[in-house]
Amino acid sequence: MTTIFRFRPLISAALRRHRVRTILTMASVMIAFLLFGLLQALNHAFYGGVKTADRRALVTTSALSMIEPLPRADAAQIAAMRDVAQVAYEVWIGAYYQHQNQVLFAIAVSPKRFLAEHTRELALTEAQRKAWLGDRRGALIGNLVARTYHWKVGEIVPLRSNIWVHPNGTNTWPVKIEDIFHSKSRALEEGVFLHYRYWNGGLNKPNMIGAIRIEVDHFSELAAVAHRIDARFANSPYPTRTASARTFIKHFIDQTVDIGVIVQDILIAVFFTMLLVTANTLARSVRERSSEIAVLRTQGYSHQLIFALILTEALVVVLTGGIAGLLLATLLVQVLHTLLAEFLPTLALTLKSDLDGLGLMLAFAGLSALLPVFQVQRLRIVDALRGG
Amino acid sequence: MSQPKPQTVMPEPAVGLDAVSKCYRRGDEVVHVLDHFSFTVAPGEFVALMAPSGSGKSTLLNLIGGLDQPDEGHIEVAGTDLGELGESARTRWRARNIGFIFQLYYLIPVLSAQRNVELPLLLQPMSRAERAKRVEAALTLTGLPHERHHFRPPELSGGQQQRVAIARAIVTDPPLLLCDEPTGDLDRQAGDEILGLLKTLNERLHKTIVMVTHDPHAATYAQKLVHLEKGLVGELRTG
Ligand SMILES: Nc1ncnc2c1ncn2[C@@H]1O[C@H](COP(=O)(O)OP(=O)(O)OP(=O)(O)O)[C@@H](O)[C@H]1O
Ligand SMILES: [Mg+2]
Repeated sequence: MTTIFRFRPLISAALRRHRVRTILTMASVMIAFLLFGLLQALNHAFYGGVKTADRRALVTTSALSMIEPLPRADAAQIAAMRDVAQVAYEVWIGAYYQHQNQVLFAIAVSPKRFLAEHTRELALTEAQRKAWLGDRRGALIGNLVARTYHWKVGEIVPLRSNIWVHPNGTNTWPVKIEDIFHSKSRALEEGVFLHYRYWNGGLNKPNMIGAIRIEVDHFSELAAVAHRIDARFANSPYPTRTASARTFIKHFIDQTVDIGVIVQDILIAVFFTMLLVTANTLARSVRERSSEIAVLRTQGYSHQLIFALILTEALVVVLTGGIAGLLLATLLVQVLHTLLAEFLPTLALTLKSDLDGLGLMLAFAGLSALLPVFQVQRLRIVDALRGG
Repeated sequence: MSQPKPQTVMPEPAVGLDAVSKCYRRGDEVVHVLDHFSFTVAPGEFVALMAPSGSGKSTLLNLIGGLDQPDEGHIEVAGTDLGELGESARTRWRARNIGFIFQLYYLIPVLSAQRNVELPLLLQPMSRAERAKRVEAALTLTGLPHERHHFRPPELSGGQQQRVAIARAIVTDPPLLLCDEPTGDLDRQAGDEILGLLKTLNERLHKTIVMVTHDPHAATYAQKLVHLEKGLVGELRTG
């Protein structure tokens, strides 16, 4: 449609017919896309870590539940499998500090593996590594956790566990803070990392682990290896479920923070309402203009051309409102980012979000033009002229 | 897309209706508006169709303009058998051959007179300058004062609005003008001016005009008067 541009007097006439109504519609679209932009930024803040997770990583957990244990021997078996480069295991401690609501993302790991795996993300000196490796009660504390509870390096902190009982009969596990680290990965900065050997003593079934992290040789083998692992243990007393680390991390966050889900639900509701509002406004305006449209038809305007004009009208309204909304969201995110840098360091509106928003606008315009197009299809010129 | 006019000894009629019937269904009731109605208009004629309200005048114009289709019978307009055209072909045919003029003008209120008149030209491959030239010519021809060419319809009198509507109808230079009560909403003086304008368009530009009205005074401007009542045709006067 190279010629649609020459019809802009008609499109602008349609928009100017009820200025206030047009502006209100644009404003409601703007609010919808402002919310969209904010949610996208929040999403990025929460799940940003997912994208940095190793593309070649798999995570194996029990097929029954994420907190059901697996035998540690499984890790050795997986390590011996074809196309597997490295294996590390970990166990979820279910830890808290003093009060049940001070939940800690504490996991016990095989320390050497853990350090090897996170060389780049953890800024630790050789001495700090050695110190942690040499102390089975030693803990590596993510900077965000340490700040929350005002912990210092060298301090001995009593962690409590809902799951594991200390050999002394209590649920209190004293750990020594060997280091507090900074990292680009938010997941790590919120973590507490402990020695598996220490916690193994507290298991009522020893030598059980929570999850096995696997690195495969090539990204392309991810699915095949995952499938092979699950097939191997399918008929054992401990069937497994293996997924890519990206899925796992997202799943894990989803279990702890449903905020994304809630906001998303709100957003869907808002979008649906806005869609109804826009579609209804457009339909109403087309209905009011039915005699004008009929006169255009008498002048030789085809159905298709009138559809194109209505669709363009919808696009102008939605793109104007939508782009304004995204710009506003960008501004707001920038302000929030400076205010909340501590809590949401990766709060940002990415280019991908903007493009998603643009795609959404096109869909939005198309959907809202659907009803009016149907009206025009049904409009009989003769009746529209008779109606005055 | 202008084709040379076929050279025939007998000029073919500009409008020819042959035994045309049209009825509307209103619930169980069937209203026969036209019943085997035949009617011809020669090229260059100005015909007034006079009939009481509700007798089918608008229906007839709509059929001639290809806005509606008959239940029975043939309609030939400007050398084209309308029954043979599909929806989109009829739309394109209408753009070239018909100018409609309505009682209520049907101008777009937020657009200037010039913009309103330009609308039919937007469908044609034509430069903006060429469009502007034709719009000015059409508006000038209809006698709208030049300083009002950029006024919007609500700022114009009824008579002036109808001039704009007539300019819009003739701007593409169609051979046939269909006027549905063009003076129905105007006072006597403004009505007379509009009728005079139509007469001029007929005499000077050789536009074939079919005008329906129930006003006997309006009918006197036409060369030919046709009375229509339930498919009955009576030629009362030929000028
Ligand atoms: N779409 C329709 N559905 C049902 N009946 C219709 C329809 N269109 C027209 N009619 C009926 O057909 C008859 C002729 O209508 P039409 O509008 O052609 O009359 P008219 O002579 O133009 O009347 P007026 O002088 O009031 O404009 C009327 O009785 C009208 O009620
Ligand atoms: Mg009528």
